[in-house]
Amino acid sequence: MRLLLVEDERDLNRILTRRLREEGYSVDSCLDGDDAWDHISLSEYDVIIMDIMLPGTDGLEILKRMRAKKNSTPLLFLTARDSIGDRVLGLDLGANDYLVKPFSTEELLARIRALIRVFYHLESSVIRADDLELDTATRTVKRAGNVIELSQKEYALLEYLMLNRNIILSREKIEEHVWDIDYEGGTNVVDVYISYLRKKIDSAHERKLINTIRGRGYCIRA
Amino acid sequence: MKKGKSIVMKQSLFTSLVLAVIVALTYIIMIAVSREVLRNNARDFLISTVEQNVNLVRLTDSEEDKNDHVYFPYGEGFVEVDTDFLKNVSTVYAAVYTDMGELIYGETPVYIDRAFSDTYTYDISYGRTDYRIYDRKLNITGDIPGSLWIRGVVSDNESRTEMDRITRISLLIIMPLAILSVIAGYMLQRKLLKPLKDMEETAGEIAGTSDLSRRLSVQREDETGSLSRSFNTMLDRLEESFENEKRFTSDVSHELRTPVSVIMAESEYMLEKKRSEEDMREGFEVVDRQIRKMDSLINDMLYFSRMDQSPENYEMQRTDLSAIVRDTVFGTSFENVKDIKLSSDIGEGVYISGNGFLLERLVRNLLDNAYRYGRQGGNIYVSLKDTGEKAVLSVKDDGIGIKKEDQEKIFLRFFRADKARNEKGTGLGLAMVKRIAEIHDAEIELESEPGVGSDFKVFFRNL
Repeated sequence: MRLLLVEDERDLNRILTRRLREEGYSVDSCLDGDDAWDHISLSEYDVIIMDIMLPGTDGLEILKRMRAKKNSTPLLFLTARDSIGDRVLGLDLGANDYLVKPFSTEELLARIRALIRVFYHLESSVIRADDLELDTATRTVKRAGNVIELSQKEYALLEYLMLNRNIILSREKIEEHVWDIDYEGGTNVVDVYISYLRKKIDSAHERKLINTIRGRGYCIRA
Repeated sequence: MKKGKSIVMKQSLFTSLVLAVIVALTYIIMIAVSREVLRNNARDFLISTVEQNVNLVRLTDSEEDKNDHVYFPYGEGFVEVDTDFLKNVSTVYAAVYTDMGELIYGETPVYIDRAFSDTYTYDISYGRTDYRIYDRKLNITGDIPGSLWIRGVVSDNESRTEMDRITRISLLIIMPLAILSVIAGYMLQRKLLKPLKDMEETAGEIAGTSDLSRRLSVQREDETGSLSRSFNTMLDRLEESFENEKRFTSDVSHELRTPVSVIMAESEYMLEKKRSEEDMREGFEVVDRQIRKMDSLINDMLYFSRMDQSPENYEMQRTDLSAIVRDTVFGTSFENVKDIKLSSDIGEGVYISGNGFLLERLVRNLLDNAYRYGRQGGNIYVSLKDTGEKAVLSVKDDGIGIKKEDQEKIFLRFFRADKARNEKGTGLGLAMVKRIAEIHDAEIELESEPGVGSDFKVFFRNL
């Protein structure tokens, strides 16, 4: 899952970025509105977390431009403005959620998970594909009831594949969503991680869930 | 409010009472006077009737004219009585008596057991009726045994009926008038007191809804009009200070929320699991930095609100502005991370009427601002000049400057031309400068160009 964090308070930006990365998200962070708009125009994000009052272009303006361009990426506003009018304005412009400062990081994380669930039409935090089970809340993975230990990147990759199960994902798309913008690990990073995942998930089982579609990408078939 | 205790009711009751007393007194006096007049009239009529009758009675030798007279034998001759004698008999009864009280002619309504006394009026009561009696001795000369008397009697029945009539008529006239005047009085009072009622209602509504934007409509030029105006002026003041208070509270919470969220996120991060010593150290540095920011924000806000709300707490007196500027420039240490050079030209002996404490703050905030938005290795130039009429303080820098459209806004609370570049300031420094200048009746002039620098000038009135 790739997130964009836009927050002009440096300390808050730094600690939230760090915390979100710890959760396995790949995070791009910006300190002002203009920079944020460049990021949004260039890359595809799963969730955008944005302050409203920003130097340069403000958060409401960015949201307006995004929705005008049919960009429906879930967006959560972080703001110190808590009047009902402000909230209504933000939500009516197309924001998906609203969190008033000060907030608990735990709540922010839960809301991000909820936004992802809504975006992928999930009923709960658990995603299933055949006998493979992935819980986005506890970040645990089970195959036929047995817990499988995954590294953060492995988990992030599997989560992305599971959320888009039955859909063929290109290497580029996977890289864009699972690795952040600063990543320069080489072009075959996706293939390398797919092979790690296969070892842990599919090797002990008859039925292989991770499929390679030649020339197009990868897909988990349920 | 109980209806029975309203001013209108009280006033109306009072005026009605007064009116009732006046009407009653007038009535009593009128009745008494009327009765007296009627009684006098009755007596006069009695006397004049009897006096006229005196001439209608005489002694004759023979029954000369039986057409117009009646004759009664008396002594040697006759008593002749003209028939006109009885013409007033419906009101005044008259009768002729002998000296011995023997009735010769006429009648009286009651039997009167009383000796005659000439030209004397007196009253007797018989049953429920009063009678007035007038006796007259007939002056008849000749050979007669003793004298003759005419006794006239009038009852007060007549005047009593008359009185009843007067009473009825006057009641018929006075009562509706009295009721009408009470109603008119009540309505007038209500109309006069209508603005008071409106005021009461508006005040009640304001108390009920806390809507301070409501006003009374002022239409009259009388006392209630000026009361309404005072009331509205009071509401203006209340609303203004309430709005200020509200804005301030909202600004404060907004400004405090960001550092609090940083501290929350940071402490949650540190507590979440075991962190490296390096991470912990960094975390505490952030917490420390944010807490200091909150501290200076709180201090500035308290200072500002105290100054803003009660400038009268700062005593104005003859102040040596030269000394204050000098002390601030040379005696205060400023955070100078950009290695900015400060030079000054401070004129001596510039005195203004002011408060040293506030003026020092004004100079310090202007310098803070100049250092904060100065250029790396730039310059600040402070000058104080006496131009005769005005004392001019100027703080000039060659820093980033301010865009034209922001030049007025920078004096607003919590406005920052470029938020990201100024994380140190509280957003109150220049607002404070402006307020202090206002308190000193001084004007601020700002010349600024982005990339060239800013020059803040304050024009104080010379003492």
